[in-house]
Amino acid sequence: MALFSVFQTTFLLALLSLRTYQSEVLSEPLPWAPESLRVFINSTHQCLHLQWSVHNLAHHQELKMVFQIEISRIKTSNVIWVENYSTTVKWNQVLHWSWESKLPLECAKHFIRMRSAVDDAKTPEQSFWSNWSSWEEVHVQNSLGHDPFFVFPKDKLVEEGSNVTICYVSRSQQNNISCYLEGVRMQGEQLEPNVSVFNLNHVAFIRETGTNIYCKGDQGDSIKGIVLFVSKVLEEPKDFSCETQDLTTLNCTWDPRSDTGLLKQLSQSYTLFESFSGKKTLCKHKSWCSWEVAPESQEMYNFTLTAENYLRKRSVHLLFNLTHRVHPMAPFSVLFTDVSATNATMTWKVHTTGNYYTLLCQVELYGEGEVIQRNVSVEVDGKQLFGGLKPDTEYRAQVRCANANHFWKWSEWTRQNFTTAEAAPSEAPDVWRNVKSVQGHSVVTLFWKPLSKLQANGKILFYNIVIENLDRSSISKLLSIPAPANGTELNLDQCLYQIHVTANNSVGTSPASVIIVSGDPGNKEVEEERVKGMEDGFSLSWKPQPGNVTGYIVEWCDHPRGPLCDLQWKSVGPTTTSTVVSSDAFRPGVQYNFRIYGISTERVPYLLEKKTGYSQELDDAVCCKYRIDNPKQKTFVVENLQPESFYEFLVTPYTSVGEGPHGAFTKVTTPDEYSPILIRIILPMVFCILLIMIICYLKSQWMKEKCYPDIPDPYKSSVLSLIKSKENPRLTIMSIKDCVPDSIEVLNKQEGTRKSLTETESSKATYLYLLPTEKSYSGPGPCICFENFTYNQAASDSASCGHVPVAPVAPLSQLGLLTSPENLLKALEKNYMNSLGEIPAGETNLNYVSQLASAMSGDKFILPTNPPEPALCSEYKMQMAIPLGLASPPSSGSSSLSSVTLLDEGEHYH
Amino acid sequence: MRAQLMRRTLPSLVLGLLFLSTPAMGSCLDKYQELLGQLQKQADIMQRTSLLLDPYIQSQGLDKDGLKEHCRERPGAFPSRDALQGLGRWEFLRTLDTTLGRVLHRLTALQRDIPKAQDLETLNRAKQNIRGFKNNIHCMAQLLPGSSETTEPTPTDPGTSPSPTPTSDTFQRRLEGCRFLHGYHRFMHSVGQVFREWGESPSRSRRHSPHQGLWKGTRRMQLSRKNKRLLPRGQLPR
Repeated sequence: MALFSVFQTTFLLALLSLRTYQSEVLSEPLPWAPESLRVFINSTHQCLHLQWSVHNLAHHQELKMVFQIEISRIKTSNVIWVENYSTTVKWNQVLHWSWESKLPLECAKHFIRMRSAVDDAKTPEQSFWSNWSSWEEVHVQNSLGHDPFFVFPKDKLVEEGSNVTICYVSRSQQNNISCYLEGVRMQGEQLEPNVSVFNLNHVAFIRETGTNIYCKGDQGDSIKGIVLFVSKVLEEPKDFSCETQDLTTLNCTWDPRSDTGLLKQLSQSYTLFESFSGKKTLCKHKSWCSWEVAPESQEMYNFTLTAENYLRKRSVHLLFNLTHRVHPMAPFSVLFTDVSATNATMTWKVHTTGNYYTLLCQVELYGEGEVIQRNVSVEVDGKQLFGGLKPDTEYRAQVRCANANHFWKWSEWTRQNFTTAEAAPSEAPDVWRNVKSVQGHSVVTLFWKPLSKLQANGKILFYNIVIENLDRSSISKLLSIPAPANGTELNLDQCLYQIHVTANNSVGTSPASVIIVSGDPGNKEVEEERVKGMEDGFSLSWKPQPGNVTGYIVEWCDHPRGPLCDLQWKSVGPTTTSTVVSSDAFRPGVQYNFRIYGISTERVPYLLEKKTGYSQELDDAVCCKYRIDNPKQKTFVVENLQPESFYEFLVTPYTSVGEGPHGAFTKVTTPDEYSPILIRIILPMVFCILLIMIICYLKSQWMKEKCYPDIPDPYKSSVLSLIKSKENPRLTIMSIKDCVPDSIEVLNKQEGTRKSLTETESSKATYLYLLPTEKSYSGPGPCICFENFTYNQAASDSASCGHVPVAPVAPLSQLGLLTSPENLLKALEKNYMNSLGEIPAGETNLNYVSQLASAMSGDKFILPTNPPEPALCSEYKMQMAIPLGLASPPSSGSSSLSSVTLLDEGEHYH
Repeated sequence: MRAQLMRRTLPSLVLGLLFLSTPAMGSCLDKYQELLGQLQKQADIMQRTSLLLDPYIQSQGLDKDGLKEHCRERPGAFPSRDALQGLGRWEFLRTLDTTLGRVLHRLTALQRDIPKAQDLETLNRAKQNIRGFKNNIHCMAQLLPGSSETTEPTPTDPGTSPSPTPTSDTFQRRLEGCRFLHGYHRFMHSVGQVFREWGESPSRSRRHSPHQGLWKGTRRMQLSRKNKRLLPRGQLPR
């Protein structure tokens, strides 16, 4: 055990002595150790540049060496970077090395040291590390100003998606500083008591002027910040391609992608480098560049397109043979020659791209929905003949070319239009006729359908109609109907006619369409059958004709209800016995009638069958169905029909098995709704009016007296209103009190002579009763009865005027007309003078003018119910007469009314 | 965007029309009230922040809470309203002319921080407007009594005032630019008010004969000699 301890101690001592020896050897300065180490700071790029030299190298001696560089942050023990830098060192050479810090250099102290070793096979004995150089301290904060705090790095330019470290350095540890990125607060970590760092990962592009990052102290009044310029990542140009149109200039294009331009960085630039020629050009445009083709006929080109900005370069390459990149220019001078109705020759020219290049040209022709394509080999001029074209048709031609030997790209199309010439119409017009017999003549209406564009071969100008009398073959007639007419009417006799119809354009005439027309319309009585319409029209079929038939015609009207039936027809071949007739004009609920004609070999149409039916029977078309159970009933009244509506009625028998066949419908249009009502009202009204008119006519005289008598009522005169309005006391109606009555001779006996004259009419004598009723009568004296002998005939005719109670003042009614005393006197004088003469008894144009009576009647309304007793009445002799124009008829109505009015006034005088 | 462009462009067009009536050199408007009215209108338009400040704030990303508050005029950067009102007319015009020369110079410096062609065009229009305004100031100076000692006509060069201390710190320069523009608009607002007061106090004498005020070459005095206040008759300094 003791031996073991001694051995162990001896071993340890030996090991220690060996170690000591080694350390002594290593501590000796290496002859090629780094010296004169200097550190330079580039804050903008956050870089440390190291510079040193190696002494003791012999002249022209080169030595491979390794320099180990150590970088510490904040303190020397905190090594953050170790790197071995290998290089060949020459005599008296100054060596350089750079290091970029992720943390802005202002944010913390940095320490750098290095050592070296020989890494050269020539001196293997020297291949151990030299001593470390002393630490070089980098402390940028010392050079900062006196602001309370700072933010770093200033104006840093990075690519989008990069990671960036920001820091602030505060002068005081007490400052409470918060930092923001575009207004959003950032969370950092403390690096030192006065330094905080913020790691931004994957920074994004925000704007060309950069991203604002700023810090504010707790007071809020101080603000410091930086602008971080985030550039979009420079992308590789896409779709880089070069081609030539003329073999003298190459045009290279590419997609530049994103623009990386910033306030602190220009947009990326592009350079084009060709490796065979070694030429390089800076492109002026972002997406294309021109390159002059070498005159020495360089065929191969190897291009490198380089996009470059402050941060990055991107390159793409392109190798090609020039002749394989020929993109010809579009052909020109495209012309059409020898254009006929069916043929045309197209010529064009191409740009020359060399002496020996052949172009392949593609020609396309579009017209009437068809495309004709041709490939033509062309050196200088191209030519292509097109045949089988359609007459009078516009065609669009286009041509493009490409390199025939090495296809690269087609040129642009060059287009030109042309129209073929017209040709004579190729088909005969489809003709049909309608024949009517009118007074021994045939009115033939010819119809034809316009030729289709393909058939017309040009613009149809007119239709020629040749009418040939087959009975008298020598007679023919030619009619020319200008287009676009589609029919004409002919008046023919009962002879047999053959009609030729041709269509004509500017070039020629179509084949003729021939139809035979005779006086007999050929509408023999055939039974009408019902057909049912389908969605696509009517399916019609008929029995095949045993004889020779050249074809069939189906005829119908598109608008059977309209005044113009719009005759339509359809021609089918002789072997066809069925067809489907369809028309856009067919409407549901409308009955259509079809006639099927056969065309004989003599081209004479004759009616074969008749069909009728609805294209679609509406559900509501059958509005009602009545069941008549009495087999003997022969009449039925359908009620509640709509006025002015079209109805069709069908009566069919039925048995217990079912209904019988449906015969023809009876068509009825109901009258309008208001006619019967109007008739019921208007007729009685007319009758009444007529009756009234007759009565009025018969009683016109009575009406005249009633409504507008010759002697007007003064109280109805406008003069009265004038008097009242002016309130002129001098102008008034004469009052009975103001008048001095004439002397009245009262006879208590009847005058014989006069009576003899009126004897036969004694019962009808007109009396003017001046007697008031007992109640109202206040004056003395008996009643006075005036017999009016001068009463005119007209007045006397009035039946109601036999006994009229007239107030004493009644004669004053005429005084109303005599608005002034003078007029009154004149009138009276005149009449009086007339009265002096003999008045013939038969003279009827004089009216009686009553004189004033002394007594007044107070009872003005009550008509006397009993005629006055003659004994009590005084007979009045005629006093005077006045012309009819001044007299008013003493009709009962008017007189009575006048009296009333006057009495009313008179009452005011009481 | 179109509305914004219109908002920026329309005032400039109006200003351009106003300036059309006052050619730059030699043919000034000789009607005092008319010229004063033009100056008022121009000042009213130039005070609008939509012309310069707003587009600048937007293009520089300063339209964020916490930043906008710092876009305030630095005290002393521009004469205050009270200071302007305290100046005599002639001195006011001279101060105005000098300050706008400084503004022109500063706007030129701001151009390098504006990458967009559209914003650059806005800035250039604003500079043209300021030059026109300076010419009108020159014309107004001629109409004031004692106009032989008047302001220099506006040269097209940036001006004579020292340029602001250049800083490589983009953020700080950005903020300073914003503050400067804020101060400029405020300053033009004050200028407009002063001109309005001119119009409201017609008692202040003014010269009616424009010919007496034409440039007289050798009689022109140096600016340093013009510092004495040239008050119109009966006018007290405010």
